[in-house]
Amino acid sequence: MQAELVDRARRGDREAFSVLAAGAVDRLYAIARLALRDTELAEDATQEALVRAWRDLPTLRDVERFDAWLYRLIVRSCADIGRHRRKWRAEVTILPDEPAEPDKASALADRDLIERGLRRLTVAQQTILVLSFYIGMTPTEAADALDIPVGTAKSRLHYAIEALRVAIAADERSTVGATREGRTA
Amino acid sequence: MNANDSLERGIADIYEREAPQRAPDWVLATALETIESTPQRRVLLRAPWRFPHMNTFAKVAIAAVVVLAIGAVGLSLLPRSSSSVGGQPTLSPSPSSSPSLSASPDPSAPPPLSETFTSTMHGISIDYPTGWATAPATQPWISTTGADFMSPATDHIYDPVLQDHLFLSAASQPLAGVAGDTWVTEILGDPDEGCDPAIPPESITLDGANGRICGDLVALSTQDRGYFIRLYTSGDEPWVDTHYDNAWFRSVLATVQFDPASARDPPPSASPSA
Repeated sequence: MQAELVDRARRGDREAFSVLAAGAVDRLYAIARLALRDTELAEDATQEALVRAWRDLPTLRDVERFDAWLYRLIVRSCADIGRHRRKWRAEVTILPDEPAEPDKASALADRDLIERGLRRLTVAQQTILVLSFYIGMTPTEAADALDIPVGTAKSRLHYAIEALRVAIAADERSTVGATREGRTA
Repeated sequence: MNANDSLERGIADIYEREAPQRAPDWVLATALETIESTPQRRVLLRAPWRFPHMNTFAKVAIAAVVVLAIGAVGLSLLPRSSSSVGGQPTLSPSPSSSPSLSASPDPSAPPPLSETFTSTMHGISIDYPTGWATAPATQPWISTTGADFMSPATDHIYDPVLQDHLFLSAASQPLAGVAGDTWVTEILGDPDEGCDPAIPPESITLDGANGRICGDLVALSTQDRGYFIRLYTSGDEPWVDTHYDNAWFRSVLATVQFDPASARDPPPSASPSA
């Protein structure tokens, strides 16, 4: 069914493409939102990926690979937008914390640390983490989506996790330091 | 369960919790509206690369015709000499009445590489132009991407006027068990900061470190350390790209020396299993 729609869209059928786009837009948006960690940029990336999909669809040879190809397009759109991200990175709004129940405080603190750590990663690092831990891709599938060798995908994942760990450790150290300063003041 | 499993599970939990269930309706609507006026890319039918049933004589004949045709077109495009007998009079260049393509001032050639910057954070020394400013890194480089201008993890050497429109940046990090070539591939392949896909990387050796260069980005590795050096020009001032081109970048690279022993690294953390 999907293959038939892809084939029709590939030959210029806008109605067929609309059906495909409607079926994919939520998934693409979720990936972009997690990788870019910004709502507006995710909306832009999703639109851009859909327009690219329409424009470049005739170049897709294997209609069965439509989903993998769409992942590649959303990853590319996120990367393009990520290039400009440095200009607004300092303007990221920190959302207010939810009130925590005491027995959940520790788990929330860990989550908060990881969230803050994720914000410090590059878009490329965020993307490999999203593909691996949200979509559940294997390194081979992630390599395909990112259009890079499998070895590079593995090492990128390795470095992303390592960078996250270092960012969390630095955050913890600064929190402990601030607490100590507060006590001695 | 080790620390890695716990961290990975934490990441997955956050993604599960944060992932939006639905995209705003207008995202799809706007995209489809744009598509209404967007033509699809045309795919040309691919002709066979060779003609399977052609004999050798025919191939040679066709090749000769193609060469002659190219030659004839080339000759017709050559400027005609004013001294040629019976030739058309040449057009003399008109006085410079037309404005320059670029309104930006064209500075003189880059200053000589008379200064040397030595990075105490990254174990790199590099010559740079007279009059340029430096901003040494103040913390180790833990990412695998090129970091922003004035990032504290990267050494920056920059034109004091153009600043983030013209600068050199450099950094290094321990390979931490990753093969040097893999590390180099990772750096050059980064979609945010890596090679332009249109520029194939070439092998390069600097001060005993091997790696690859693509355009104005070079990544190299020694036995246990990876190095990254980049020339950045914003492209906003065309004359900058004219003077600070790849040949200039290579002349800077020729002065690079590595001193891994003097580099400062973050304290080792638990080794990842990936």
